[in-house]
Amino acid sequence: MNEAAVAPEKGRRRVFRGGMMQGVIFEIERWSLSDGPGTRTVVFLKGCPLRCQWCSNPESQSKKPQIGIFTAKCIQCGKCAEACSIDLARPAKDGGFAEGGVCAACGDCVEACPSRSRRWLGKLVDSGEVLETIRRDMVFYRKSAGGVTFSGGEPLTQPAFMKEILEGCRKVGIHTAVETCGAFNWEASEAAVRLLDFVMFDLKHMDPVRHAEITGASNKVILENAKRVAALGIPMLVRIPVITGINDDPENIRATAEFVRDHLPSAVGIEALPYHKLGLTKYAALGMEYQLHHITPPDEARMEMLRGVISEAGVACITPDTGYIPDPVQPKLKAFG
Amino acid sequence: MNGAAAQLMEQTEYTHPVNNLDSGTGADNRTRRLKNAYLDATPTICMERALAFTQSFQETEGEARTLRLAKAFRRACETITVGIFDDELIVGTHGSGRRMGALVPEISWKWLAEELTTIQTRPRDPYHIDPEHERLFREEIIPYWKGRSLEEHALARLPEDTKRIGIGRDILDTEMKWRSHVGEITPDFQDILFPRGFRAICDEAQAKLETLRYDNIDDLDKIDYYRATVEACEGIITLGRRYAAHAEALAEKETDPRRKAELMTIAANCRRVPEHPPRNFWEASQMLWFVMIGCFLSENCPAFNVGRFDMFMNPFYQADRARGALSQAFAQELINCLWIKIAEFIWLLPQNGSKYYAGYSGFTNLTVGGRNIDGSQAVNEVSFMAVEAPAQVGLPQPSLSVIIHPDTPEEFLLACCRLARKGIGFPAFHNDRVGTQMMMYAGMRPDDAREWTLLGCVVPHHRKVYEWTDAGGYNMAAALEWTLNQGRSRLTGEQLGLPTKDARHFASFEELKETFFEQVRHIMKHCAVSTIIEQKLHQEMVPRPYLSLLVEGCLESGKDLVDGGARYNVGPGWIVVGAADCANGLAAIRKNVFEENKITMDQLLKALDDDFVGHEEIHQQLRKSPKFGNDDDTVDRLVVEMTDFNDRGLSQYKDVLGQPFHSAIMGLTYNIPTGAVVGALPCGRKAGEPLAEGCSPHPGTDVSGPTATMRSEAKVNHELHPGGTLLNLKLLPSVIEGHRGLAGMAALIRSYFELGGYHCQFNVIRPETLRDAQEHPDRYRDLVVRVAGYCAIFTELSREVQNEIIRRTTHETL
Ligand code: SF4
Ligand code: SF4
Repeated sequence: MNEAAVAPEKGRRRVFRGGMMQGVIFEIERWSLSDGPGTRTVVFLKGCPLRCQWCSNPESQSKKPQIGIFTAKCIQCGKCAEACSIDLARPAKDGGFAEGGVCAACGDCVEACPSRSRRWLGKLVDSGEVLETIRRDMVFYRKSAGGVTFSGGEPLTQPAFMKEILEGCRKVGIHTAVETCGAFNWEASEAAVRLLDFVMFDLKHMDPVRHAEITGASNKVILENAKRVAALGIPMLVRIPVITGINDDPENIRATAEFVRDHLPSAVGIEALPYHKLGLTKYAALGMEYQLHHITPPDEARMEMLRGVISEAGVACITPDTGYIPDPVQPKLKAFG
Repeated sequence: MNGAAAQLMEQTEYTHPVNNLDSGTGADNRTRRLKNAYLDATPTICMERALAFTQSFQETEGEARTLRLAKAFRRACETITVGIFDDELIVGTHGSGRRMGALVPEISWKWLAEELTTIQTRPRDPYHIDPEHERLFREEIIPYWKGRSLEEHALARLPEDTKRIGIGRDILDTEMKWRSHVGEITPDFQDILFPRGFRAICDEAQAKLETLRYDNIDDLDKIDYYRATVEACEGIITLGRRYAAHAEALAEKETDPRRKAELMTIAANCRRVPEHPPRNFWEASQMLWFVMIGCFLSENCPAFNVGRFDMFMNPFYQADRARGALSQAFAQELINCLWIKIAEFIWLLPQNGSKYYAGYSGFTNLTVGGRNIDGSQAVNEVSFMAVEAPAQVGLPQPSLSVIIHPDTPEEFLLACCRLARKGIGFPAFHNDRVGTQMMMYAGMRPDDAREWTLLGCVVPHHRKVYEWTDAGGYNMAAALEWTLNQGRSRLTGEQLGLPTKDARHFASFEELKETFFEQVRHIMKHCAVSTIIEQKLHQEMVPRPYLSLLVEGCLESGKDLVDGGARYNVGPGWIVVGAADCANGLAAIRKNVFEENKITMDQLLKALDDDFVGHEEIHQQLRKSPKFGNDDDTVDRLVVEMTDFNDRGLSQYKDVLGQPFHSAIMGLTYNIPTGAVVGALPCGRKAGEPLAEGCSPHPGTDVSGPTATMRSEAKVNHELHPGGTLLNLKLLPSVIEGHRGLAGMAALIRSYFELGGYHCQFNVIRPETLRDAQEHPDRYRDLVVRVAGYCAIFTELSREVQNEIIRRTTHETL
């Protein structure tokens, strides 16, 4: 992997400067219907303490901007090699980098590449700039009771940056949400968390040992943080990424549901999300190994069974048909689906 | 909304309407059987109508043109085959079978003489023709019409320089109105046809005739006009009676008691309508269809619209329901039957025309939703059934349009989204506010404008309006090519545009842009010239006695539509093609050549000449320049400038009735042939590739998600384009699953409309489905897709159009 030092991007136009903080993001996705209530703009922040084997955003793990190499459109013009002051860049079709050397992440080769075969994965941005992009879709939030969602990575690895954007959202009445893996420092993050209207909280496994095996860290802090969020009374949605053979046994699902029922009074329910492989091309772009090639996504019957386990434990199942915040109107409208 | 409508909405909320139907022998099966019969029918050319017109014309030599046409129309009504097919509840064909394309020799016959050998096998929209009909064509029709068609007159009258770029060049398409009739009429069911019936109209014309005198010069034209009116009324009344007699004869022979009873009712309906006003829902449906057949018999051309179907059918529905005479299921069945009849109509086109309007489409629009003249919202129970019909019938016509207003019930919008999510391309969503503004810009009173409807694919229209909404389309990208090539085509080197200066010598971007507008103005001038000449010819040669009955103002004033008899006359619309490509190209030039000096003009021109071969870096550099559709003001403002210019430039010209020309930015499949004649463009598009359709972004360049596309699109001043604007969004089904997805679509539409967008439509389909359909067309014979503002059966489209649909952006990020 060619990890890059934090380097500001050149020539960026800044129209709205609401804040001074800078942070590292890798994408802003507009119009998502599956990252919180209504229409969401999703801001993906870089950096994550976990290393889940199934991660569909491998570019989110490192906190620094990185250079992704996409081979398909490379015309082997050699402009990248010419531009690189340390003679490390090579045509994407030839692997992107020479053997050895450490990339300084100066971005000169990205700028030089005419085919977008070399792309920044992640960039350093002002909070004001992010806020400006979020605000562009105001009308879409209003019509759908939507808002902004911070995702990642683990967005709460950049709590101060997030807090500044959250404050900006609050000023203009934008609903805010986060998608968190729960592995964050509470003291550093509490102020940001308190500004959130909705928290989507991942629980990957209830067994601390198994959790460490599949994500690289114990779930102790995670479960603690879940309780703390619930104690603040912020509406929560617990999410389980269902990965065949890794955490999809009914026992684990039941244990998760019981934890939610007994310890998270502000939780609206659990959403079980079937694992997918849409992130594969990004592993290649980063020169990373993907370990779960052999795993097939769970089928609908399996998902249905697991949702049954959740319901049996007395916890609501959240699906594309239910909406995120149980609301008396929604069951009626369900018949339209 | 009244109580009954609210009740129906309750019902549709909880039960899928299909469950309400008698599914054993009833609607479900009838709809399926009728649909299968439709799919089995081969599109065929029919000469019956042409023969009737020819024989009648031979007998009326020397009479007034309008009277001759009315008599020919009457002859057609008296002589064409009357056909009632199994299972039909609504009857009437406009030829000797299902899916018949009628030749109209008074407009154009030459093309068929030239294409007779290839039309059965041509790649786009082939037709069958019976040997007997072929013989009639050669021996009866050609000999009479030689030298007499509007086409021949047009070719003789159009100035040479207009013809030079206006025919067969795909720079401007002037053929639209000399190879085809006009169509583009919405019969006034509300105020004229349903309350009166054709007998009352005929009587009024007779009464008017009594007051007119041959010794008064001012009366002479009116006498001809009213005499023609009487002929046209008698014609359509006769057609109804012939169907009544035929149904009675069939009932006589029928052994199945259930069908016998149906045929008896059909016969009774046809005794009543169209002569007299309909009294119930079934009669009204049958009347509607007779009126439409009359349209198709008088002209073979697109865009005869049903209009605001829910508005004028609901009173019959409510009355029948109150009397206990009609079940909701049977009403749905009647609507389905009507739907299939409308789908049968075909607009017969030459090879060249089928490039622009692929898919045998008749462009018959049916609109529901919107507002009433008093400003109240208009959704009722019939609106819901109209939204259910395409789901049950699954054919590409009629084009279902819905008008959405802030007060439109959410249940209705969700029902529309549910239909859209099925991936059949319907309905087209339209913004009430902008449509009303467009009609006001076109000259309507605000209250009248509220009852606007849709025409063809996305054109705002009104039943009290006469206009040429599609006078033709022009290729704006050609103007950009000429600007960079001293007025010459890059592909052929011919001097087609103005000989402007060498692009290498432009001192500034502004100078380049001004030259570009000069080239556009040059094209616009020829647009105006061709339309004005065509309009004069239409006045002389093809007045519209039958269609004038259907529009308020003509009967009152004694003037035909072509002479300005309608209550409102609106100037002709010209469609601009390629505005997004031009804006993208200009943005790329400004950035790379004038601002950042990354590419010299000389390098750019060489790269364009070589279609980027050997200029890969330049090509990539151009491709990564900003593109319209990503909410990027630097390029979006240029699109606004191009489209505003289209209004300003065209509205300089006035038509034969003194009305200003106007702008349209819709698509059809214009973007394919126009793209074929344009070389490489500075936006990075390669030679011959299709242009962007309508004012949608160029395919594959809108990569920032639908909200960004919509924000870009909404920057266009839609109300300046009363010819309609168009936005297609292709969505993968996975992103709009569940109620979440449905509500998300609904909110997306409402947001776009709040921003000032006019139209949007969804293509919800998997690319692999389309590819599979290409390989196995037999398995997908009812796969309906959206083709630039209208729907067609995918497997009936040419490979080229199919590829284009697949290539269009798929919003993977959703
Ligand atoms: S600059 Fe880009 S296109 Fe050229 S060789 Fe390098 S990676 Fe390939
Ligand atoms: S140019 Fe800069 S970013 Fe590119 S490979 Fe060389 S050091 Fe890394």
